[in-house]
Amino acid sequence: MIRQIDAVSHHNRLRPLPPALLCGFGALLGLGAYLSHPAVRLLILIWAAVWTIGYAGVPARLYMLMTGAACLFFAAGLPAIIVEIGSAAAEEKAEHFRLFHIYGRSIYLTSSGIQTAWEAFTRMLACLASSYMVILTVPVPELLAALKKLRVPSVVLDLIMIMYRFIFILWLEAADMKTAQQARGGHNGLKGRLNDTAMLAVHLFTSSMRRYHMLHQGLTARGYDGHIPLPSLRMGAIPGRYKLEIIGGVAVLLLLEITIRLEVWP
Amino acid sequence: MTALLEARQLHYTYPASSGSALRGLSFRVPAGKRTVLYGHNGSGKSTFLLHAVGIHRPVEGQLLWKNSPLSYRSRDLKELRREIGLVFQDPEQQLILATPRQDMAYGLRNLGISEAELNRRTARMLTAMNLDPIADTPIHHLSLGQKKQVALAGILVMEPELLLLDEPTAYLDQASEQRLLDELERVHKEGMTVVMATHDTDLAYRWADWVIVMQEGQCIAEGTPAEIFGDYALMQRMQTPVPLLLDLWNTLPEELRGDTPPRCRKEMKRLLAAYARS
Repeated sequence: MIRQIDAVSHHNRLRPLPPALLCGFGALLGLGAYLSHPAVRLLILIWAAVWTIGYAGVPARLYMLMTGAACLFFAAGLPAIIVEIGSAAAEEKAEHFRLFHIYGRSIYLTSSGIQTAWEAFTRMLACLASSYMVILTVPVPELLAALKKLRVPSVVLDLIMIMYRFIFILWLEAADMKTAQQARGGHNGLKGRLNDTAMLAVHLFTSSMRRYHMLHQGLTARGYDGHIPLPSLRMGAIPGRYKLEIIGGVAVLLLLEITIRLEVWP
Repeated sequence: MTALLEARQLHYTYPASSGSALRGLSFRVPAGKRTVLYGHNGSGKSTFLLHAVGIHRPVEGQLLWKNSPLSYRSRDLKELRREIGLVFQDPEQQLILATPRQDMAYGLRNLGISEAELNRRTARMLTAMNLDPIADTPIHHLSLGQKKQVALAGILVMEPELLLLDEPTAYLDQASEQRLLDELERVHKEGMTVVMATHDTDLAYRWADWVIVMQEGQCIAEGTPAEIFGDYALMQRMQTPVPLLLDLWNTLPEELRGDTPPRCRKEMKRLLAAYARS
């Protein structure tokens, strides 16, 4: 999936737009998703998805898969938010919905828990959509250039940059090693798969150490002095149509949020 | 013969290694020529190249760059690595940034060159090496041949005086190899001294002006390709086959051969065509 995300971020229809616009817009939507009410969050979710799938042309299947994977983590944490265990007396409250009774204790859902879960779910979806909009439309190197502009320490950027290059090299190496193991009858049965995967992990570790050493030599030969100078952030004109949509859309969301806060909206 | 780089009695042993990688290596790299460092795997070619850019420091002996001993102060090394460019065998070893355009600019940024000049030089090199179509493609989406081209471009853009290449044609198909050699021809014509480490006899024979033969960390012979590869005793000692063209030429009748053996397929064809006409 990492390779697919990377490929999409490099080849999407929003690539001509300045990365600063997409990063700034994504951050604005993320902030809005964090601070607003569920109704506004759902609108943010829809708006970000329209940009990502509609305008950028990111495959809907990939988008749903990524969202689904994140929802699984949310689902795993859901019981902690909505399920409570209490004495039989506690279940009498009107806002409690008993699931079952065991050994004199009741396991029940609370309406406040469900409310919290709904709040968290909408916030998660809106924040995810905002961050996916950035991740899927801006390639990592341009994201790093944006972070550099925001004065993120260079050591952090160097590490991300090296990890970004290494991830694909090691992934390819792991895939090659696995193919070689399979060609020699490996990965046969559960026990064989476990054994071969463990062996692969060991080889990958030694290989990554060797790669590190080689990369250090390569960098030194090219004048590395403890810091990787990153390219500057690509700037450019923002098409009026996008400018208008962002300003108009943010104004509508703000108005809606204010209306909800002032309880004008039911 | 003016020497650009000279090795004098170099000795080097890798940490935790029982044998020496270099054992009294001495030779001179002539300025303005296409030199091949020829030798089998493990003969010390790559070790020498790492010495040439100051990554390894000899245990004994001395390296001279333009007749002056190499200085290992960080400022001098930085200048040395601008003047001597090293292209590694595995391009993944030296490609660090995400796209060819960004990676080519990496070395220039290290030198503190202005963004405007950097963009100009990068764009010129991309065009010169026909890399424009892949300039903004992520490096991990490129083929090995393209990565090798990008690695070479990243060094050439620094405009070094001496270009060192470690097994540049390893794993390349014939088309990619030819593209690489064409590029080396172009920079050599512009006045750059090029040194290639290889164990490919045919390539060394057809490409080099000067051949330095290495074995077990020592230089055992140097001379023109005709002198080196025409020395059958040396070839036998090294257990190396004679280059195919030279071998074929030697099997031709005396009257057909002419004075000088052909260095490439085209010259061989010309020789045979001339004989057919006569």
